[in-house]
Amino acid sequence: MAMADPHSDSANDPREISSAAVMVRCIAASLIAMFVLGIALGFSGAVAERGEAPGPTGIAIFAVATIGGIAALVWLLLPLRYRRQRAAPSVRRSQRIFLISAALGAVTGLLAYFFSNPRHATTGAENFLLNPSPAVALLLIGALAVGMVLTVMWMVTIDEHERKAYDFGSNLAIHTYLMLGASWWIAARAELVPAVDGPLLFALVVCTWLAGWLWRRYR
Amino acid sequence: MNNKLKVLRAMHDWSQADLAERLDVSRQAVNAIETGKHDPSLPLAFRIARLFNLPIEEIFDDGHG
Repeated sequence: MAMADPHSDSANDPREISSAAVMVRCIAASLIAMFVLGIALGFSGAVAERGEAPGPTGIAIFAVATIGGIAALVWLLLPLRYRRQRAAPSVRRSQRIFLISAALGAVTGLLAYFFSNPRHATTGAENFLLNPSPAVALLLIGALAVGMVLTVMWMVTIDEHERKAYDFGSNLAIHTYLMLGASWWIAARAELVPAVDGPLLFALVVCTWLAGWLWRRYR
Repeated sequence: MNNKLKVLRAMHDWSQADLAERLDVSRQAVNAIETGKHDPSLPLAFRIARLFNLPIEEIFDDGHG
């Protein structure tokens, strides 16, 4: 019987990339895509506001930023074709649900942006998150409800190692919320700091959850 | 908990992905068990034992045996 190097991880193709690298590349690509979209929106908004064509410097900056962003996206996403294709059936199912959730988030974000109430329009984020119209609010709440169903489906699909990592992250997050929320509230009552910023607290809790989950999964 | 999973896998010339597919878990799960960062549940330990056709205690050792 042939003996393989026990430290080896089936790297038949040296270009093959791990699932951690796939995730990092996808996150980085999402950030760059948002950056490029932001530049395009800012550029078109500035043109509409001034009512005149942009000068050569403006066009050059826009072109360099857009081409650079797209080139970075291609550089990040092209190696994904070498990702490991083989996975256990339950892992493939959970990955499929994860991708559907990500697509739901992206489509909802775009829909919310485009159907936002133009009366409040300053930037897209301020518009649909801080001053949503009733229709946009219902769209976001509906997407959150569907997202919760997908999360439950995902949780019954993942293996025990993933579940432990996810539970560790959620445990860390609830303790962060309890500690940070209570301390901030008390400090604000004592006029040591400004009042509790709900969205910021929410973002910190989500980041803690994500950090704990990923650390436990890939450590 | 110590285990012989890496050695048994190598004896069968399986990669972590091969073993993960046979156990219906992720490759990260196999890696975590092999490196002692995750102790498998009883059902998974039984699946591993059946796969290698060995008693559980021949694969896993809690250091008190």
